[in-house]
Parts: sequence; C-alpha cells; structure tokens
Amino acid sequence: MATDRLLRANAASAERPLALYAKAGNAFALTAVDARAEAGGLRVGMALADARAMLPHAQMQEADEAADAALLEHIAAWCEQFSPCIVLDPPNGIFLDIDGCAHLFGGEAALLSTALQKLKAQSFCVRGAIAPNPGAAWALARFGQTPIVEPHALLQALAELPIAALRLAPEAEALLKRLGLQRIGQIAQAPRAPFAARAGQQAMRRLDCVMGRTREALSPRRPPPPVFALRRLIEPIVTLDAILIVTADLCADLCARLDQTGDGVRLLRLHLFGFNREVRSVELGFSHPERAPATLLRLWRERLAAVAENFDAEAGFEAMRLDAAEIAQIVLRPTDLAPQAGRDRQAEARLIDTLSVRLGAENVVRLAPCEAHAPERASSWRATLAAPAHSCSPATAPADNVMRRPLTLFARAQPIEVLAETPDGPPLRFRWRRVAHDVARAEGPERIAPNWLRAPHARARDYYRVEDREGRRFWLYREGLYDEETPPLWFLHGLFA
Amino acid sequence: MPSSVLYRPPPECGSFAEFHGLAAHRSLTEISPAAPADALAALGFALAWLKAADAGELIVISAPEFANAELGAAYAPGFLQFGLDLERLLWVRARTQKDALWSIEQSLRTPHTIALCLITPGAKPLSLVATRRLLLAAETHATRCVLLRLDQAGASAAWTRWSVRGASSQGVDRELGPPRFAVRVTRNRAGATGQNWLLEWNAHEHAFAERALDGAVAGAVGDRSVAPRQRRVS
Repeated sequence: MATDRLLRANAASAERPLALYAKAGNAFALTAVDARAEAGGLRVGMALADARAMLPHAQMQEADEAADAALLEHIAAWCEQFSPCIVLDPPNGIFLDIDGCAHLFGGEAALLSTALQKLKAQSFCVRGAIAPNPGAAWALARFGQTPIVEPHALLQALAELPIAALRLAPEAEALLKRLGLQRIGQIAQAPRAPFAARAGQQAMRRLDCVMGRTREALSPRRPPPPVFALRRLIEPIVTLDAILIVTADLCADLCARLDQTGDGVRLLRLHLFGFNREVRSVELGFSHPERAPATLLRLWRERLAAVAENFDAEAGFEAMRLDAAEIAQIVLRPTDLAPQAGRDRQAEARLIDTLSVRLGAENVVRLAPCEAHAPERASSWRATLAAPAHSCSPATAPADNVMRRPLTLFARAQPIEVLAETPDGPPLRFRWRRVAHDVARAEGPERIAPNWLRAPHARARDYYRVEDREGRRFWLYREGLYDEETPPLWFLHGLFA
Repeated sequence: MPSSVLYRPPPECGSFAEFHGLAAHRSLTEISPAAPADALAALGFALAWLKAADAGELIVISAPEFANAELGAAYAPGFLQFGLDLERLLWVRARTQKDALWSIEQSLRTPHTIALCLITPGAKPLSLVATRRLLLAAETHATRCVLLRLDQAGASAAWTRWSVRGASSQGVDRELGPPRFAVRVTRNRAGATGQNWLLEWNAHEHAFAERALDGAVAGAVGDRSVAPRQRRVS
C-alpha cells in the first residue's frame, strides 16, 4: 500500500523497482516493496545495504508512516459503503464485518469482487478474502488461494498455509520453524498443553482464533450503529431529488427494523459515498425517539436542503447508508382524555426538531440562570436538543416588584461618559450612544468584587440602577475607585424595562 | 384635596382590565415603542403581556440575532425577576428576519403555544401578507402571537396595536419602583382607539396594576385574590 501511494502520487517512477525503508535499531531495513522489487528478490525486513547490493537500479525511499496511516484511514472511510463495522489493521490491512451486508451486493462473492475491483481501478495492489473469522480472513488474504471459505471447509483451506499466516510473535514463529513445522495443518491438531508450553500462550490463542475456536476481540474504527440501512446505486446520483428518493427508501428500511424492537431513533447519520472516494456525513438529531418514516423524511428534506450547496457532488454518489447512531425505547403514554391546562409535550418536541433542523440545534435554546458571582456569567443558553428541559428553580420575582437585575445585558459593557455628583456618588448625567441622559433616580452602589482566582487584576465594580427623566432604566457601573492611580471608568452593562 | 383618592377612569375610556381581558385573547397583537429609545420598555411590556395572558403554555420567543447589538442579550436573572418561567420558555436565535418569522409560524402551528417575534428595522418592511399568514396560523390552531415592532409598523392584520413608553417611577427618596409603562392603543380592529393607561407590572402576581395618569391608584387588574384589592396612596 505504501508503494502504491507513491506511485499514485507520481512520487516514484513506475518503470523501476521500488522499495521503502525505515530505521530499525541502528540499521535501515526495508518496510515495503512493490511487485517488481519482490520479483528481484527483495523482501520486507531486509537490510537496506543488502537490498542496494542486490538491485542497484531499484529506487529506495524513506517510509512516511503518518501518510500511510492517513491513507489507510481514508480507504477505511471509503469501505464504509460496504459495512458500518470497519477495523483498521495497520500497517496495511482493513477488516470488514460483513454480517448482514452481503445480500445488498448480491452475495459475498459479488461484494468481494466489487470492493477489490474498485480498489484495483484506483491502482492499489490489493488482496482480499472472506472467512468465518477475522484471523482466517487475514491468513487467506495474504497467503491463501481461495478467496471465500465456508465454515466447513475452513480447516482444509488453512492446512496448506504457512505458519506466518498465524500472525505470531517473531520468536514463536522462529521456534516453530526450528522444530520443522512449516504449515498450519501440522500444528492444527497438536496437543494443547505441550504446544502452549513450547510456543507460548499467544501462539495458542492465535491458533484458536484462526480455527474459530475462540472469538477475537477487534476494536472498530467507529462504534458500529445498532441499526442501519444501506443502498448501493447502479448509477451515481447527483440531484437533491434523487438523494431524497433514496433517503425515503432508507428511512422505510430503518423504521421497519426499529419496529421489531419497539425502538425509536434519537440521532441519525446519513453517509453519502461519492464516486470520487469522498464520503459526506450529515447528522439529524431528535428531541425524543422517533420512528415514523414520514416524520424522518420531512426532517431530512429540511436538513438536506440546508446543506445541499455544501455537498460538492461533482461525480455523484454511488452508495448511501443511514445509521441510527442513537436509539431509545419509545414509551407510549395513554392519551389524556381530560388534559390539564397546558402543554402538548409531543407537539413541542416536534416543534423543537423542526426548528433545529432548519436553524441549527445551537440556535434553539433555553435561557438558564447560572450560579455565578460575575453578572456576565450568571446567564447561559442551553441547547434544547442535547439536554431535555431541566427543572430550574421556580420564578423568583421579588415581593416588592422592583427589578434588581436588567432584562437584557450587553455582551461587552459599553463605555459611557458620566458626570457624578460626588466622586464616589451615583451619576448625575451620562452620555450613551451620543445621547445625554439626565438621571432622575438612582439606587446603589452594589459592589461586585472581581474573581480573585480568575481575574486577580480586575477592579471592583460599583453597580447603580438609574432612571432618566423619561423613565428609561439602565444598569451602570463604575470600575475602580477614585483613590487609585488610574481614574475609574464608567460602563453601561444592561437595560431594564 | 383629600389625602387619598380612589381614581376612576372616565367612562368612555374603560378600565384597562376590561380592555385587556378582551385583547389578550386575540390571536395577533402588535406592540411598538413610542420612540426608538423605548424599545426596552416595549420588550418589557410584551413579556409582561405574554405572562399575563398565558395559561401554562409554551412561550416561544424568536429574535433575529442582530437585535442583540441594539438591545443586549436576554439575561436569565432579569427574566426570572420579571416573573417569567424559564422552563416554559423556548428561545429561537434566528439569523435573519425571515427565519424568525418562519420559526414563529411553525410555533403557532403547535397547540398550546404563545409566541413573541421581534421585528427589527430592515431593508424590506414586514408586509401585510406576512402578518396575515401569522394571523391565519394562530387562528387555525388557537394559538396567540405578539409582534414586537421595532420597525415602522405599517399595514398589518393585527387585532390591536399598542404604543409603549417607559414611565417614571413614583416614590420617595430617588428609589426605583416596579416596571412602569405608559401605553396607548393606536389601532383596534374591533373597537375604539386612543385609550391611554399607565400600568405597573406586578411580577409577583403576574398582573398589571393600573395607575391613574396623574399618579393615583385605580386598583389592580387581573387580581386573582378573592377579596377586591384597593390600594391607597397618601
């Protein structure tokens, strides 16, 4: 794969053998060789000096592990059109869990040949195999002749493969070779205890995995969705209408599956696999579990219309997959025949979904007070979609109906020019936005000291609530004191009704 | 002059309680500041209107984001002190006026909702058609809508339009009192216009108290206590 990357990028000549090397210990060793170099006798792990001696005309380049890892990740993302469960196997392998996916492609053989053909078309040198377990698939893809092995033929297919196909540690592999064991068939039925004692527990476990006697734990690239629906398209599609038609099919599929378990979806992810190997993903969140195809489709129509201009589907999409990334049980409530005064929670949830899809979930919010000393930190916005309505403290209107805190607060306090009666007293007149206001009434000061931990150098603020002659009310503060070196500054922070 | 008087409004004007009782149930109401600087008084009156009119519904407020630069951003402690229940309040931060109107129309189609939309001055004034759309949505689904017109309000389908001005506190010793509004009915599709009232917002009881225009007291409006309440001023 690493050599393919260079050839694809035209960073190396396709005429001459190509090998990559990296520093291993104190010497340089080969890490990848292309087909021509392999025919010339070069092998991975060979010392660079030896390789140069064997094939003087070969091109040697230093390996770039980061670029190789990025390429593998990119190919893995492309492979998601075949299955949602992908496991990376660095440096150059990818596992696909195709349980329940093969029928979408017309069988396992068709799936494998489609995937290999498409990768070969992009000039990757690629081998693949389908087997009942990942270990066997790994072995067959690298050393086997039969690409697809059914469970009953597994032992037979593996018997002829070399010991290296077991992915053993180098010491264990060397030991087995020293004992004259070359093929898996020779050790497949070996007595367990003596074999484990000689070759080590790890070798025993590897052998068990390949034979399907234990299950191998793999960590997928992304957590596979609990439920998904997938469609491959005969012709690439470009238009939004076509995408919506396929989305409708996917929604129907998904809802049919959710119906069986009584679940609803809380977060949907639509993956669009582009013809040019680009993958686009669009998310759609719900405030409550949802399972009606019509509702899902209505929201997708809004969502896709909003992002369609960013699709950049120049070559069209060849496959689409809809994942139910988060699902939750739908709890049916009895219909309230004599509803209390009030609210229709379901209708509200639908409203929040509709608004969030078009305006963005971060713009449909609830206002929430915070326990904070600094006035500008005492109010926050909470996204409604992420957190359902929390029960905040009941409205605490003061008994005398006099407002101590303004209705609105400016994100940045606005500087004003102030004329005060006495240096420490309330303002007499101030100028804000080029309009002078005569203060008729003022209450204060209310001193709010700065947070000594967060802002140790900030100055204390003295807040005044003032009313001008027209009856408009403002929240002003003086920052600093007159006896300090720098004179205090006046700001307007908020407005009262 | 006696030390205390019970103020009675002139009969042709009617009490605010009567008028408000009818107007609060109308599906579309417009509130506009008497002068640009009274925008906050108008916002306060609109919020108080929602609170006095609601019966446990969801309150949706939609505002174009650029309104924040002019008015400041909504402040939770202030809203709580004003008597609003934040758990029932849904705030929509719209990018454009069009988005704000769309979100309000969607809200009005949700049963048990009362919606407030900020209309800011823009290149394109709010059309009669747009207000009619809101009116239809609200009437069809038995919801209510309040438009806070910070622009120059022209033709509109609203039932009533109110012009709001901030009013000076009354009280001794330079103290600030409860929020006060001088309101005037400038438009009424179902009756007379031109009424003036001076109102004080009782955030604790979620009701307007009507004050006489000269400062005397005329009794609480929307008072939910059993005994009639009459306050006297010395």
